[in-house]
Amino acid sequence: MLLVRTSVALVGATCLVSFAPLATGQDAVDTGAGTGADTKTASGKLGATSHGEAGDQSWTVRLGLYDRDDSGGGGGNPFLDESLTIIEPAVIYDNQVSDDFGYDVKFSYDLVSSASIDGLSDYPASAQSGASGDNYFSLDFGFRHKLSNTDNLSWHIDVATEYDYTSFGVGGGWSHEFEERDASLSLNLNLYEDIIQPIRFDGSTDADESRTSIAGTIGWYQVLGPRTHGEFGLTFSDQSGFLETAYNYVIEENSVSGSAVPNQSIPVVGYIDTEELPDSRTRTALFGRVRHGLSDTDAIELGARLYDDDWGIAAWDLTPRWLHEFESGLLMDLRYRYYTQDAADYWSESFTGTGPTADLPTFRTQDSDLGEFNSSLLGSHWMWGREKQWDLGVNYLSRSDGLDHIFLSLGWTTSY
Amino acid sequence: MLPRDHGAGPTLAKNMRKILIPLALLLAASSCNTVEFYEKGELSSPVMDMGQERTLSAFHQKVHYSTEGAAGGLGTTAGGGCGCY
Repeated sequence: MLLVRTSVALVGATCLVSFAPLATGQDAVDTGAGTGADTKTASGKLGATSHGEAGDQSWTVRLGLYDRDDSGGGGGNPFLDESLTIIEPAVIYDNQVSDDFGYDVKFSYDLVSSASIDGLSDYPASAQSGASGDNYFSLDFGFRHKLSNTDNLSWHIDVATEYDYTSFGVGGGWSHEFEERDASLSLNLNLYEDIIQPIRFDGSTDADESRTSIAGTIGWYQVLGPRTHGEFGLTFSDQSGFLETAYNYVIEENSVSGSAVPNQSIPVVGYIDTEELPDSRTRTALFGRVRHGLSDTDAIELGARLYDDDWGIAAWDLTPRWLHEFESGLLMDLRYRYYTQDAADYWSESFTGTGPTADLPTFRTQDSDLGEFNSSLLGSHWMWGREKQWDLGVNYLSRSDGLDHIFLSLGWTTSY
Repeated sequence: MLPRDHGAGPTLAKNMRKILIPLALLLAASSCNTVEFYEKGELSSPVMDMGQERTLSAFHQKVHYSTEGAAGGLGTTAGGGCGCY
C-alpha cells in the first residue's frame, strides 16, 4: 500500500495520510480506522493506526502562515489591537520500521508577531522587551504499534518551549476494528503539563504558574453504505491551573474618578487591571461527520460539532464540503464552515464602576475569543502528486466582531 | 461604543442539539446493516479518504480552537501543548 505521510503545521499539527490503492474488497477499505483514538492531539498529531509497509520512509517540509489584521483595534476588543501574524516552518520525518511498528519526529518553529507583544514596548520599564517573546519551538515524537489485524496502539511525547512557556505532553490511543472493518472503536487519552511565566500587559512578571490539561476522546467509525461512511465522537477535557492569557487586561470605564488609560486603541478614561479567570475548566465536545460519494471522483460531506463548557460557552459549527478529483490526479477540497458561540460568563464588552478596579468582578475578561460571535469560513485545499506530493491550502474567515483572518499552508512530501 | 452584531448563539445552539443528536442516533442505527466487502471499493477512492481529512481537520481545528472559545473535538485535546488555548 502506498503511504503518503503529510503533516499540517501552523501552530503545530502533524498527521499521517493514508491513500489506499484502488481495489475491491476488504483490502480496499482502509479508511477511518481509528476515529479520534489514532489522533495524537493537542499538538494536532494524527495517525498511528495507518501502517505502511516495512521500510517506508518520508520527509515533509511545510510552511504555515496565519494573519489577522486588526490595525487600529477596530475588531474584537475595541481597546486592543489584536493583529497577529504567525509563520511556521516545520520538518517531519516518518519511518515505518517494520510491519507493526513505525514512528515519526516533527520539529517546528513559530515566528510570532503580535500587537500584544509589541505593546510591551509601550512600557519602557518592563521586565521584558516585546521582541524576546515571539519564538516558539516544538519537538514531537510519535510511535505506532500494530498489535493485531484489528488492534492498533499509538503514543507520543512532546516538548514545546518559548520565552515564557514550556510544555510537556504525553498520550496514547487504542483502536479496535469490528465486523470486517465496517466499524472501529477508538479511545484516546492525552496529558499536558505546562509551565507559564506570566508577563503582564505592562511588562511586569509574576511567579511561574502551571497548567494541567487532560482529555479523553471516544470515537466510532462506521461504514454506512457502499458509498457512505462517517465518524462520531465525544471529547471530555479538564484543565486546571493558570488558564488566563497573562498579558490580557480589562478596562473599567470611569469618567468620574478615573484617568486617561494610556496606550489604548481608542481614548478611554478609567482604570486598567489584569484579566482574571477561574483556575479550572471542563469542556465537552460532541462531533461527527458523514461523507457520501457521488461518483468515483466526487464526494460531499457534512460535519458538525456541539460544544459546552463550565465557563458558560456553548457553541456549534457546521461544515459542508465538496471534494473532487480531476483527471490529472489533482484533488480539490472546498469547504464552508459556520461557527457560533455564546460569551463566557466572565466576558463583557465593557466594564464600568464607581471607583478603582476593586469594583471589578472577581473573574473578568474582555478577550474577544471568549465573547459572543459567529464566523464564516471559505476554504480550499489542493493536493497533487503521490511519491512526491504537494499541497496548498487557502482559507479566509470572516468574524462578526471584525476579527477576520486568513491562513495558508504549503507542504511538500517525498516518500521512498 | 457602537453595538456589534454577535449573532444568535445561545438559541441556535440549543436548536442544533435537538437536530444533531437525533441525527447521530439515526446514523448509528443505520449502521446495523452490514455492507458486503465487495461493495466497499468506492470507499477507498481519494475523495472518500477520511484519513486525509484528519490531516486537514488537525490543521483547521488548531487554527480555530486557538482563536475561538470552544476547543475540543476530532483531533484535539482541547488544551495544552501550544499555550494558545
